[in-house]
Amino acid sequence: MNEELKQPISELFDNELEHTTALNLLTKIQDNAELKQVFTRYAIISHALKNNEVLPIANDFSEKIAAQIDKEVFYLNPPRQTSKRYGTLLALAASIAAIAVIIPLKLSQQITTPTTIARQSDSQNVIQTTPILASSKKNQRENGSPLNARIIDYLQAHNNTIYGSDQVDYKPLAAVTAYTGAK
Amino acid sequence: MNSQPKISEQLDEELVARVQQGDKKAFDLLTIKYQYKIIQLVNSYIKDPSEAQDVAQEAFIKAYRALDTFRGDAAFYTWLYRIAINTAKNYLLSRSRRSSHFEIDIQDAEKVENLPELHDLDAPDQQLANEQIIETIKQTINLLPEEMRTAIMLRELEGMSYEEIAVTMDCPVGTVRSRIFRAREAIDNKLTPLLSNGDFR
Repeated sequence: MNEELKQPISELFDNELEHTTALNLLTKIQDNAELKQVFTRYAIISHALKNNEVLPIANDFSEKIAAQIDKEVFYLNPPRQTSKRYGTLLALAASIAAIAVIIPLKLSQQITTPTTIARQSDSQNVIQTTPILASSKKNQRENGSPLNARIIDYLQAHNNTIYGSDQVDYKPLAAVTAYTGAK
Repeated sequence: MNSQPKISEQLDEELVARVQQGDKKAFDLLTIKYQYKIIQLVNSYIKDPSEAQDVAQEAFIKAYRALDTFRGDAAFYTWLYRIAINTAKNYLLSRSRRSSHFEIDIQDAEKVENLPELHDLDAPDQQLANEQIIETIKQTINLLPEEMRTAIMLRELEGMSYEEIAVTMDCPVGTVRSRIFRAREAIDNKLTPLLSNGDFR
């Protein structure tokens, strides 16, 4: 039944079969124990001729591997493009670094110009925060801490009263932070 | 000159791509294609056919697990051979450590492995059967017509491609294909009765 496939198997064994034919034959061998045995015997003959010794090969060798692989995690991912991915990550890191440098710079510039802050807040907030701004500028001059200036700026940009409840002794968290920072 | 390795590599590339997309059956085809070469390679290090098959199996599993990292910079079989050699060396090393409890390097493990007295560990009846197989193959080769014997010997011993054999023997490649196949068939016909149920372990 498989006699006509024996010569192609011999050629496949020698890597002398055309691509499509080789693929089709391998698929047939995969599903046919008789063809697999022919392939095995050709391998035994080859090894015996080359090395003058017999190398036994189990017929179910590939089945054992296939069974083991069936338990393995399924491979879905195509090969990763390392260089492109690396470039993307590098660009992202550079962007984050730039943002981390530029934003604090901008913020510190805004603190020194009250008119800028006024544009950012609503009119009521500007009225409430103007005295604080004056004192914060003074503090900044005294201790020279840009971090403190940023916290004060944050407080000015937000109405502190919204962080507090109606309780009398309750201090807004942001205000406490500003105090600690100023210290 | 010889385009066959390229064709073989193309087939490997296609199968590897299929495995990387989740087709496990494609890896089975790669296993069938390379199992003998890998077992032979591992056996050249380990010198125990039974253990060699276990280690070769481990090498194939490792290759499957690492296949998503295979970029195709080298040919698949080169990559697979490297994995097989490393697996065999690691096996020798761990076995030597288990038996001696001493730290030795891979080269030492290979030296121990190559001691001739450690090789003839087959059961006497198995050894006899193996000798009979070798003798049968030799006798059959000697009885083959001259052109068939030359063709199979050039292929197996000299590793020539069909094209090179055709040039050497001054005949068409198709004739070489046929001669090599008929030589194998003649040996196989004599060999099959010696292999129990065709399942040779």
